[in-house]
Amino acid sequence: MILLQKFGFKESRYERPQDKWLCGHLADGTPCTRGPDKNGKCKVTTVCTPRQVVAKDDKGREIKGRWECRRSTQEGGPCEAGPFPDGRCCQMLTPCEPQPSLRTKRKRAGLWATALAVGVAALVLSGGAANRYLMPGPLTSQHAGLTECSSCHAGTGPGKMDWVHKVVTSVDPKQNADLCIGCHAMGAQPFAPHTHPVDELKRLTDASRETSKGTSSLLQRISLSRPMSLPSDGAAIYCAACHKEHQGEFRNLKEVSNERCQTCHVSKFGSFATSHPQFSDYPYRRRTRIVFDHAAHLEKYFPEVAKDAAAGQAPPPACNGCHQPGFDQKYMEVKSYGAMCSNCHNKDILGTGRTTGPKGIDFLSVPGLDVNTLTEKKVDIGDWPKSSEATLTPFMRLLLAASGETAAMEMGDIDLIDLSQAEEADLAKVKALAWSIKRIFAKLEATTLETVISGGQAGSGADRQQLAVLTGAISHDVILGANREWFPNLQDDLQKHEKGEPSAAFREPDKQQEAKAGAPFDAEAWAEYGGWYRQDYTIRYRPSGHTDPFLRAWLNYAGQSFAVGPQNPVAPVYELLASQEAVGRCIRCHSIDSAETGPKQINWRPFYTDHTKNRFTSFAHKAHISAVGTKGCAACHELNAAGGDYVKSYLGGDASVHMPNFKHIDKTLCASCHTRQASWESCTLCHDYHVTESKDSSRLGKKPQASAAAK
Amino acid sequence: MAWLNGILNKSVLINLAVASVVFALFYAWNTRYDLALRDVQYFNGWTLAACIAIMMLLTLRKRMVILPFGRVRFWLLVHYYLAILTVGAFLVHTRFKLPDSLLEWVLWSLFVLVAVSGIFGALISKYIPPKLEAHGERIMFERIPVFRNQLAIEAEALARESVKDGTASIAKLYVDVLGNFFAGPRNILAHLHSSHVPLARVLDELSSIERYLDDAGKARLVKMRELVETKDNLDFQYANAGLLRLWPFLHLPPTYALLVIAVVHVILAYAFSARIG
Repeated sequence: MILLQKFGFKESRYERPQDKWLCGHLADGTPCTRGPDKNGKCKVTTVCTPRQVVAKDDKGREIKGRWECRRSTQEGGPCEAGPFPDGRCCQMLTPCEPQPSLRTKRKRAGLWATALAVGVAALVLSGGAANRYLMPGPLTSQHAGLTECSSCHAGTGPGKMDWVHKVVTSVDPKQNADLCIGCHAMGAQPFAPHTHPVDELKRLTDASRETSKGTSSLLQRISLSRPMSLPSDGAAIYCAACHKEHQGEFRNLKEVSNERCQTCHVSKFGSFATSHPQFSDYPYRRRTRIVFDHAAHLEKYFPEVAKDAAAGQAPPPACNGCHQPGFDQKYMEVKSYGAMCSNCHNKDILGTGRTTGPKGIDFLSVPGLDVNTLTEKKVDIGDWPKSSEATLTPFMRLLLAASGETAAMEMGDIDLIDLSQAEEADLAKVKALAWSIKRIFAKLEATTLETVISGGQAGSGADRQQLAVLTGAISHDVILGANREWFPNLQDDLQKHEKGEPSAAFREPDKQQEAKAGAPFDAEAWAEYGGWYRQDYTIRYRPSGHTDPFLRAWLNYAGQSFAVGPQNPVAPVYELLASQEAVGRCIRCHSIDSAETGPKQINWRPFYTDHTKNRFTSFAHKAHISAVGTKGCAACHELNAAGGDYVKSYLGGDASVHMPNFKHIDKTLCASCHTRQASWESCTLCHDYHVTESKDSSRLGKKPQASAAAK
Repeated sequence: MAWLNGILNKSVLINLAVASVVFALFYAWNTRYDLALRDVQYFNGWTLAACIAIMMLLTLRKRMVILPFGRVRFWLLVHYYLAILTVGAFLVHTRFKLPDSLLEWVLWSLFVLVAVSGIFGALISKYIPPKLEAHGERIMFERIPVFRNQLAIEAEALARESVKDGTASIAKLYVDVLGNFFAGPRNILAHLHSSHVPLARVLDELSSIERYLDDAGKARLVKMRELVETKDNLDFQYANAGLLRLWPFLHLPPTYALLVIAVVHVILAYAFSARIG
């Protein structure tokens, strides 16, 4: 191989790779030595620039001599021909078209690329479809209808370049988040952790800290990060902290990593199977709202019904005979009363199965008094049915109290049926009671029951509706008929009593006549389908069936009256209606939640999906149907052999103290499927983040309007 | 894999380990930000921007030849290993996903182009110079056209000389094969993967006429073989050194475009930020 390259002052030329321009002849392998100037212009015409020899004579004067060739040694040294006499080089060079060097080309490429990028950016930013191009990604399908940036980005306008304004203006994070909650209702504290009252979170946290003490390992307790700001100092967690938009149409905006959840949570753990806290009392944290003894029904009543096989009665074939998925297919709800219970339990409500006692509720009554003794002792109470053995009903007591009549409250233990041993003071009380009852009946004849109940105070629309239900739409004729039958001279007696005159019955006792009953008539049977009837000197209400509004309204009203304490005028009404053997037997199935002191919440509805609204956990039954196998629901819900105490659970008011029909579900049952590899084990699979309301407030519901009667 | 062993020497492995540790720290810090419900995109985005800015200092250093800012070699090493962090930060910033919109695609494509060309350039900058040293005479790239011309003239002269002697075999071979071979750069791709096939083919052609030559002709043939081998080395130097000079065309111009689009991206990010706190 021939060595081409030589280095040395005379052997090789000086290379200038930093130059912007190169000689155009370089590509042919014959570049000139001088090269183009810095502007890319070829400036050579001849091989060399000859030099004139200058000598000096004896006197020191310059003498111009011959022209010498100045061709470089690398190009062969001075040529033989030498310069022309006028000093011009004899070898002319062909001018070239200088070429940019690689460095220059690279710089140009950089400029072009920059200009192209600026142009593309300008086109995109100012184009008609700027919004589409500026977006970092498509919105989720749920937000596809939001076409304006200003829908979600505070501070931007509808114009193409309005967003530029936002670059230099300050937008509070809350302003953006407020736009979210404009559509997504998140309760009263939308930016609090879990959108939940912070005080309750603190309480739960303290409780969790207490229970998890010592159960988590050191590794689990290590906290790599702290939240950006603690909610206790008034800071907030805004929507965008978790919900990342512009990630594509199918992005799950609710997706949150397990680690993010554990940033704040004091109890930290790894996998679900190994270190998630064990379930406590899951899923039966409270007793069922409807008192339904599964064990008794499955083992006793249903087999009996199956044997008896009365017309229209058949036990449910399986769990789904009574249970069905709710609207969101997540929670199992129970079917309606009509579909499940009515065949066997209608007679309890209608009273048709009742063998003793009235089938209607004693509402208004004329209590039985020892009229003979009163007459003997010259106690004037006017006309009074001698044969009445009725007692003063709680409703009567309530009406008397609401009307300002205090006589009933002063009766103590006076035996109204036998006053032979009564003292003068007691007789005076009985007299006052009798006249107050007459005044009530007279008042009811002249004014509405609603007015009497409400103490004559005008209420709101809601009050009026409530009062209408509380009166059971009683007819005026019911009152009128009772007065004509029981107190034929009511108005006359009252007028004379007011004037201090003796009543007609007192002056002419012989003329006093008991109202004669007509032909034998069974008023209770007449009211078989519900409504008002009169019997045994009592006006009674017979329930029309399940969900009877009158019974329900009075039970609600009476139950809530305990908010002011157990000693209130409505409490006896509650005791009457809420007893196990009460007409309608509502409370035999509808459980009552109550604190030791406070209102009594009657659970009219069984569990339904709305009850889960403010839970921190959720469960999807539908997704598990295929996993239960041949055991069906029993795969998870195993009947509790020690279920005999189920009904006793309802003796107290605390719903959390109970003995469930079914065994609690152990975590290992869930963990047998839910692993990292299968079926997922992310926090949000079972736990909900947004729990907008306090658990306590949701459980107790809205308090009813207080009425004057409760006073 | 011999070339890989040549690249992954002890110091490179140590530097890679350091870069990996730094990236792991960055990733841990990023995860911490993410778990703390902060807008982690700002953290990893600005980290990415800072990495790019520091890498750009290499260009600045090359332009500042007077001020004592450390050797270019040092800045080149910083450029290399920071590039690893930058690619990592980019993947974290993009959440390991492809973009969804036009502007994001432009930005993503430019970054990928810059990164891939940079990695390619780094690899060939490590791989080619030893190859050039090992393959015949090392020729300055700027002188290659001159030498090529010089060899072409000599080869033509040799062919003419053989005609005068009446042995036209070399001249005929020159007309058929060698003339084109000496006329310009040849077999670029073959030289890029160090193939000797093109040279062997030409040399075979020369060998095939040897039996028809007398002693003078054989002497010329030897001379011609030397010219061919020298020209082949020249082509080898041209192909590989040329590649070293051309890859920056895929690296630097896209970098400037990337900076422009990145600035737009930052402005948009702040304009439409949810500012979660």
